[in-house]
Amino acid sequence: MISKKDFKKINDYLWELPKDFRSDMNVPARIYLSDKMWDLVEEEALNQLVNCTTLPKIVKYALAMPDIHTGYGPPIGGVGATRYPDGVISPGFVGFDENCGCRLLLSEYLEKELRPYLEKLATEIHKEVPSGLGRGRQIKLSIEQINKILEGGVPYLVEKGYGEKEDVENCEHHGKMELADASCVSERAKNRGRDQVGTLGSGNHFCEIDKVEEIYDEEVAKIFGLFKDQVVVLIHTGSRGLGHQNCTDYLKITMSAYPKYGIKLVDRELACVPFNSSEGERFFKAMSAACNYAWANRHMIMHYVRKAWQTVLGQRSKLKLLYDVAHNIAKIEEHEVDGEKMKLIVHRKGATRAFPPNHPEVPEKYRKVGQPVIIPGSMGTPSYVLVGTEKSKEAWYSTCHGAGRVMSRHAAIRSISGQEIINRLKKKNIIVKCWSLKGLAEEAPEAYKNIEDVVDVVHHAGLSKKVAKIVPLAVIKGE
Amino acid sequence: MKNLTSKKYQILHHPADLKIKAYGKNLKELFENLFLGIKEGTRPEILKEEVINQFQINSENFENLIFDFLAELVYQMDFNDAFYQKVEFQKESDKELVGKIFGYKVKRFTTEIKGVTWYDFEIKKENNNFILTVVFDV
Repeated sequence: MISKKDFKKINDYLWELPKDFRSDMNVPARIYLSDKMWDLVEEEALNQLVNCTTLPKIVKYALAMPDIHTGYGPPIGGVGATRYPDGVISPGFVGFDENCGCRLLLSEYLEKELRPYLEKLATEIHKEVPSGLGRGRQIKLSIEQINKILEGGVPYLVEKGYGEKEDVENCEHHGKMELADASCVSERAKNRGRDQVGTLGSGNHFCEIDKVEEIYDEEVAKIFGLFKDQVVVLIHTGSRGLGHQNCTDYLKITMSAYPKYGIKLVDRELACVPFNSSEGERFFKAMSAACNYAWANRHMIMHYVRKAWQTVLGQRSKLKLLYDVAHNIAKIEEHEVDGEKMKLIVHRKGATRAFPPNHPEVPEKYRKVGQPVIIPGSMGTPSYVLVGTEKSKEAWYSTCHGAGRVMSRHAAIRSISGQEIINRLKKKNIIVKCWSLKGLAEEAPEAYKNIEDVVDVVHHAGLSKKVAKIVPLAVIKGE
Repeated sequence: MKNLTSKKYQILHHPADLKIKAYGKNLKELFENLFLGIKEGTRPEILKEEVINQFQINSENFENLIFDFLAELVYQMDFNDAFYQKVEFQKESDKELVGKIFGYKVKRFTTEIKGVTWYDFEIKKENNNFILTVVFDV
């Protein structure tokens, strides 16, 4: 049994479970939560967080964000850093959807200017951007083309004439992890990815036309190019079947390999190997390639959205990329540990990187204020743009990734129908484009925590600061 | 509560993913009952075109064999855009499965399966019946 009473309150938004709670813990566990959100945290998610503290060479603590919920292995909303290069890397601490993430595009339109074109725009985007399985793009790329995407990421696509140089600058890691090696990705994974570049997928993945409803920080908003009532486009998806297969492949490899490194696991889904082992290095190279594929996927969706935008609004209508950031990833980053700078392998599974002002990896035009952070809400609810802070150093510059589920998909379908959701959204003047009403019911807002509560925790905890709230005008769902 | 021999599958609670408990007096029945659970969890729009795909799984032990079969199934579903209903084995041992899966092309899955997880994974035999518990990441 584990519950709130076992945690020591550090401040109103941060709690710590001491290392002596369980004999196999290597470090304490920390969770960012407000008092009122504790009731929504499942005991199993806390157990999974504690399991993460047992990872060999984990540094300082295992962390959970306020959107924590039960996953497999580590909880969703989990962050864990291990020592580089001899600490472990774990495919399960990245998740099946490697580099699932968000990108936000900025228009020059106010809501009132765009409203007459909204239905047409949503229809056109729905037509241009295939959603999920079985609705892949009509053309299958060759394995050679997939290899180029795996190693070249967004810069490769820009070179090929899709997008602009600025799109590379405004993407985490410039849309390309250098260590990516296509030869470490299986043919099976590549085959699954051949017709899925530029597709959304199902579940909570979506493309939304939103408007900026509220600005919290005028100075930062101005630097990000955000203004009140502005129409923006939010894209949320990941590496599709290619990333899922890649994770499956390396879970199997890791499961076979970990005993030879003397690693003991409390949960097989936490299977891990030393980063500097042959299996660890190959996984990192393969995961990096899948991450490049995911950035390329979101980039191509942006390309199709831009195409739809110009079809409806004319050739001069532009959509600029504000930023693209992952929330399922493992990265090698430099952090300060007990006053000393060192490289760490930072796993973020359902957590978003949030670099502070003046960090060299933040695009130059945002560097003075910090990295843009994009937090998607659940369907029909607000999403947020935040900015990275120096305070989040304590969480390896990480913040939350979304609302976090509280109700199973099955229960959601039983409690509400897709048609009821459409009706409800219609009352709020929100257009919905989807292929399946049941798929819509799974993503009912009541199946998730309140995004405003989640974002308020990271804001008050100082993990990132609110810049703007955006609300949906049209939702284009993955299935 | 139905007895074990008549129970086919149950969808168990999981806040985000698809957790299924399937039952069967042999592996064929177990997997075909699991397919029913997958159908309920993914809600495919099934087309008329039939598909038959082959598989060959070799694993270190029986537990891994079952897990690897499920990983193969997830791959085949995605790669072939197919939903499977039946399975036939040409070879069946504790470390090897060779055979065919039979099903239909799908227009789409309402919920797509990303992968099979080891979380709470269990295959056991009780009163001569197999019971499989598995969580699919969706």
